[in-house]
Order: sequence, then structure tokens, then C-alpha cells
Amino acid sequence: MSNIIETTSLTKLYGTSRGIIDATFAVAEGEVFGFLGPNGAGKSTTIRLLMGLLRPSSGSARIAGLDCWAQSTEVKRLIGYLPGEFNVDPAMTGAQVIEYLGNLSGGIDQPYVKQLVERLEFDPGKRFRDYSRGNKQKVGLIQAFMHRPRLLILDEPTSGLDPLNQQEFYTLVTEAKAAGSSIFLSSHILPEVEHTCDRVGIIREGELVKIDHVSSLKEIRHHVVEVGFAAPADPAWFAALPHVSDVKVINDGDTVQMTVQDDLSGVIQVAAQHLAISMVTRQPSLEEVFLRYYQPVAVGKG
Amino acid sequence: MFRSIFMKTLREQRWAVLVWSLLLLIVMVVGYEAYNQVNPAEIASLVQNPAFKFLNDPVEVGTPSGLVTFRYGFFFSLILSIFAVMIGGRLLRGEETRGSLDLILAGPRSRRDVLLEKVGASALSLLILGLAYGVGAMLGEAYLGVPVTVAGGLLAGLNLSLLLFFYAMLALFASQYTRSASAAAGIAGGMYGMFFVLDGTGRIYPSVAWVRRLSPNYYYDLSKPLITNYGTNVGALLLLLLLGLILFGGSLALFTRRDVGSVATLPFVGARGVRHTDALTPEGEIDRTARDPWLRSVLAHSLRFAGPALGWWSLGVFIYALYGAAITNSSSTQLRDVFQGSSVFNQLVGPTLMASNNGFVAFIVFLFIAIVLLIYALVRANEWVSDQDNGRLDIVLSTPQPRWKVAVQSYCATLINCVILALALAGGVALGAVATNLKLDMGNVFVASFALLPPMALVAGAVYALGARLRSTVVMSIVGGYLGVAFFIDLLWSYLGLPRWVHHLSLFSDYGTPMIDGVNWASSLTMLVLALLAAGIGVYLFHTGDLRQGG
Repeated sequence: MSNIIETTSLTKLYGTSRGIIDATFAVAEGEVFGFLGPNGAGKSTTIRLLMGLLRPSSGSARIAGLDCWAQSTEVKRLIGYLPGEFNVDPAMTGAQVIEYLGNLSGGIDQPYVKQLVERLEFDPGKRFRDYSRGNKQKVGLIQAFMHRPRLLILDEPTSGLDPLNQQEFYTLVTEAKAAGSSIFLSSHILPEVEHTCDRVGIIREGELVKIDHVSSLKEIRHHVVEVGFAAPADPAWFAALPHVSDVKVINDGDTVQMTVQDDLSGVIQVAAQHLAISMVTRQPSLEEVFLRYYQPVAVGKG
Repeated sequence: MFRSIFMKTLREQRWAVLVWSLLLLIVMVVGYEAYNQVNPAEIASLVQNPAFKFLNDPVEVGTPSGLVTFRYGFFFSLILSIFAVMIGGRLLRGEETRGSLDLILAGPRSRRDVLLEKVGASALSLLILGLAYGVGAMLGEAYLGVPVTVAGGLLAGLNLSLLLFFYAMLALFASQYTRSASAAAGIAGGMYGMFFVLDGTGRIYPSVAWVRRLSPNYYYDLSKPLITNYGTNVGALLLLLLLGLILFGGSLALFTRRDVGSVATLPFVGARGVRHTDALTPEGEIDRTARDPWLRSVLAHSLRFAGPALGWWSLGVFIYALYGAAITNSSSTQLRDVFQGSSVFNQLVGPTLMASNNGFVAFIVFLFIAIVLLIYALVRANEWVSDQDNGRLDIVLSTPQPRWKVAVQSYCATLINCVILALALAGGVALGAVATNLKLDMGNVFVASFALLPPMALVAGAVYALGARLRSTVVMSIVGGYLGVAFFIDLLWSYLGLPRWVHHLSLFSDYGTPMIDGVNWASSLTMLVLALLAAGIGVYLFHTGDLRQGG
């Protein structure tokens, strides 16, 4: 399967401050790719680079083989875009915004627009400034989907939507994927990522720290293990074991807590040697997995 | 500066207040210095003409303080009132449009406290401007070697501040009924125009002198503290303060009762809810909008949405031009006699300006309208920069439109607006002339009107060039500051003995007097080339640079 998005060492620096650094990733045609990261990590910068709104400091970004900066006009014929802050002339009505952006994109499929308006229960007759946050987001979604684009780039698409409209959005994504479109979306909502995305990229402090299938991320979950002893315990018993980290003593010194990746057999053996009296293991949620990647580098290393 | 709403409001106004204060100080000192170079008797005779009396009360214009009060008391009350209505219009409505008022009111403070702090900070800004006016007068007196009237200077400043406070509060009050700050400023500005006409009309026609009392400008005119023999009317000062406070009280009452982001209920009209185009179904709305030709391109859209503001500007220019041409037959002969042999006047506007009807219209209409039209070009072009600041171009540029094309279409829309204003100007003068049987060289009327297009294009081009890298407030300060300085250079360069090359740095100097001399092709073409160059730089920088993150 060919790639719809390809970036190579994509870097954007704002003077001395960083935007994103050396980001290399690819999104396959027909794939739904989730882009995750804490606020200020570089998600919007990456999206604006893909949209040709920012010029890369170095590296390159290509969509369907076209350079996102040098061939941005051609690139944008393929894209439906929802920015993080959807902002238009506040005096325009929703219908005018849709029509205007449709005309600038070379015309729109009126029946499909009407269908989208109906499905999202959107009133296009009001001035943009009079819409609630959720309704502004609906205008943004309609204008992004209305061309049936080959690639959808959506920055926090369900922000402000009520649960019913969120469900409708997931259906739209599923339909777009079924029709062969690719979707690149940034999100903070993990169930949304789990439901919609095939793969996920996690960005932290401007650097891509992980790209994997959502199912793989679940598999790399760590176990938090607590081993209780009748007498005070020594963390050194476990610290040298492979796949063990964050070893510390809790509960007045008679319990050792640690994080273990994958295999627990070594921990069980050492616990038995020192006459452990209890053992509790807990798997972190997917949210905790993400949080682990979200943490700043210095904290993460500790 | 972020410790309170009061301090934050002051911070927002600090640059404008600083620039205006410096300008006030400089101009007032120069104004006193200029007295050495005029013939007081000639000036005293000149200002008795109705055309001048319409603008301001001529009192002791043969004295330094009388001359400065006549010239700058009027001029700064006009210019700074525009500034005041802009402050008042956006004091609440600007925050509401941005949505930031919700956040402010989410804190543990009442609406009354928020408004009090905002109005308090704005009042302080206006007091600082008044103080600069007064201190400038005192410095001017000291420079000229006449007795310095400290109390007079301070009271003159207070008088100006109270007038500005009234207009700021008028705009604040209007903003309770409008959905945008600019609409509120437009209403208050329009009312300034009406009050100005009432005051001037009552002044020159004694039979209707009573209409002056309907204008707050009249109560401002009642005090001329710089003129020792005229003095201060404390009652008038208090009345201005009272009027301002009444408008503030009304704004407070409306603001504490209405929804944030919504408008107050108009008497006899009923509540204006969220504006809905009409009762069409969503499908019908989509179908109707699909036929709208104004949504087909960036150019059409820019023209459509600038239309209402352009309409008001054009109407104002048209009416003023009509008025200027219409009074020429009745006033020109008398003025010409007064100006005959006036070295001051010759120094100011050149020896030949008043020798013909065209010259008179150039003096009455085009001298003033030139700066108005250049300010329009600045404001209109700066909306492009403001759209970048607000992130409104992100979505437009997500469509397959080349950046350069979007920028060029936006610039062309600005130029088309400028052409419409030039047409309104020419049309107003022509209609005024036809209606009063005034003999004018109509060819030069159109030449003079359309000769304003190159400087307007240059101002707009400079905004596009600067706006590619700078934010709209900075661009407005730089280009607006230049226009202010250029206007004064053109007006006062002979007084100041400035070299001719400095005079030519002023766009107003390059525009010249085409009503008399016809088009100056060299200047016009130079400005046009510079305009295209500046716009080209703006488009190039926009095309090749990062788009600013909105918000």
C-alpha cells in the first residue's frame, strides 16, 4: 500500500524555540492515523506544516508524493482540513462559509452538503458569531468532509461536539475510510483514538517518541507489582532484574513496588527466595500508557 | 500590568496614548512658535469668514493663545474624539467579540466592577492626553516668551479630556446595542458629525443659535482656558462631565442586565435575538446561498463584506464634498478678499490656491478629504493584517488557492474600494457645483479625486508589506503615525523651515493641488510604482513566509 503522507526529518524551529524536530513518519493510503501529544508538543505545528501554512526549517513533508510547501496548491486539492481554531469572518452565515470555501475549492457536491447538514443537525442560517462552540465545529466538519477529499486532516475534530454528534463524526470517519480516504487526526480523547485509529503517533516536546498500531500500544502495557514481606525489604533484591524499573519501598518498609515489563517470572522467583507473603499486580490503562509517553523527558527517565 | 483589569486596560492603550501625547506636545509647541510668523490682523480678519467660523469659535485669534485655541483646540478635539469613540466602542464589545469577557466575568468580580475598572483606565488615558495638550501649551508659551498660564493649560487639557470622555462614553453606550465594536464607533462617530454640524450651523446663523446647545461641542467651546480674558466656564465643564457620567450610568445599567455577547433591547423595537437570515429550511438556506455571486472568489467576498463600512465612508465623503462645493459661491469672494496679500496664507497654502473656484474647493474639500481617504486606505488594508492575526486565513489557505492569488485579490478589493471613495468625492463636488451653478473645471475635479488613488494604493501597499511580518496594531501605529506626521509636515513645513526634500517625504506634498495644477504625472506615477512595489513585497513575503498562528 502506498503512503499518502511522508515526512522525512521534518523540523520547524521558531527562532531559538522549537516547533518540531526531526519528525519522520508515514501514513498509508486508506489509513486512519491518530496524532497524540500534550499541549505545546508540536501537533498543530506538524499539521500546519502538512497544510503548507508553515515552511519547514529542514526536512520535507510530502502528501501523495507532492511537496507540502512547494506544491501546496496541488496538495490542497486532495485535502479536507479542520484547523484547531476554526475561525472565519463572524458576519458570515454558516451556509455562506460552506458555499464560500466550497467555491474556493472548485465547487461542492450540494446534495452531500445537505446530507451532512442534516446528519449533524446543523442550522446554516445563523451568523457565525452567533454559533455555539459545537456548532462552529460542525461548520468546520462539514466544510472538511464536503469535497469527499482523498485525505482528511483534522485537528481535534470532536472538540465541542455533544456525544450524539461525536458518534455521527465516528460514522463519517468510518464511511470516509470505507470510501478509500485517509484520515490524519489529532486528539486527546482516547476512546476516540481506540475506536477510529489504525495507528498512533505520539509527539512529546517536538519529537516523535512512538509510532505504533493501537493494538501494539496496548500490548506494551507495563505491570505495576507490589510484593509484601513479613520483615523490612531491600529494593536491591529486585533492582538488578531485567525489565524491572522504578523500584521503591512503601508501607513502612515491608512492601516493594516496581514496574515490570512483560515477563514476571524473575520477580516471582526473587520474591519466593525472600519469603514474600503477598503479591499484587495491576495493569495500567491505555491512558496511563499515553501519559507515560506524554511526560517530559527528565521525568520519564527517572 | 496584568494585576487588574484597570492596569490591563491601561496597558492596551499605552502605545496610542504615548504617541498621541508626544504629538500633542510637539504640535502645541510648534503652534506657539508659528505665531511669530503670522500677521495677527490678517488672521483675525480671516477667521471671521463663515466658512472658518463654522469650524470653530474665533476668539482673540490675534493673540498666541487665541490662535492656538482656534487652530488646535478644534483640530485635536476632532482627531482625538475619533480616537475616543474607538476606545469606547471596543471597551466591552471588543472583549465580547473575542470571547475574553466570558473569562473576565468568570472570575469573582461583578460586572459593575469590571466596567468601572475599564472606564476608569480609559478616563485616565484621556486625562493623560488632556494633560499633554495643556503641558504642550505651557511649553509653547514658555518657548514664545509670553507668560505661562499653568492653570489655563491644565484647565484646557481638562476641557479636552471631558469632551473625549463624553464621546468615549457615547460609543460605550452605543456598543450596548451593536454586535461589533466598529459599528458602535461608527454610530458615535456619526453623532460627532451631527453635533459638529449643529454647533457650526448655530455659530454662523444667529437666528438658529439655539441649536448649538444641543451639541456637546458647544459646551467644549464655552471654555477657552488658554485665553486669559475668556477663561473657563465651570458650568460647561461640569455639564460635559455629567453627560459623560449619564452615558456611563446608562451603559452600566444595560450591561448589568443584558446577556454577555448579546445586545440590549431597543425601545419600541423589542428584543433582537440571534440574527437569522429568515425562516428557510437548512436545505433551502444552502440552495439560496449557492446562488450568491459574492461568494465565488476572495475578491468578491472581500468586496461584499467591506460593503457596509464602505457605504458609510462614501456617504460621509460625498456629503462633505457636496457641502464644500455648495458653499463656494457664497463664501469664495469674501475669502478671496481677506486672503488678498496675506503672507501667512500664501505661506500656508501657496499664493495661487484661492485665485479660482477650483482653488477654493481644493482648500475647503481636498485638503481635509485627502487625509480622510488615506486613513480609509490604512484601515481597510489593515483588515487583511488583522485577519492574519485572528487566524481567519488558515481556512481560506486550506483551499487550493495559491497564496499570492489570495493576497492579490484582497489588495485589489482594497483598491476597488478606494476607487469607489474617489468617485463619491468627485460626485459630491460635481453635484454641489451643479446645484449652486458653481463654475468649476470638472476635469480637474475628477483628476484631483482620482489623483488620490496612487497615495491610497501606496498606503495600502505599505500595510501589506509591513503586515506580512508585523501584527495589525503595530502596522496601524507605524502607518497611522506616518500619516499624522506627513500631514503636519505638509501643513507646517514652511513655518518650520524644513528642507524641500523633507517636504517631499510627505504623501500630501506629493499629491499637491491637482484641482489647480492638474495631475502631476511624475509624482503620481512614482507613487503608483512605489505602491505596486510595496504591495508586491507584501504579496511576496506573504507567499513565502509562515502564516501566523491565529488567536
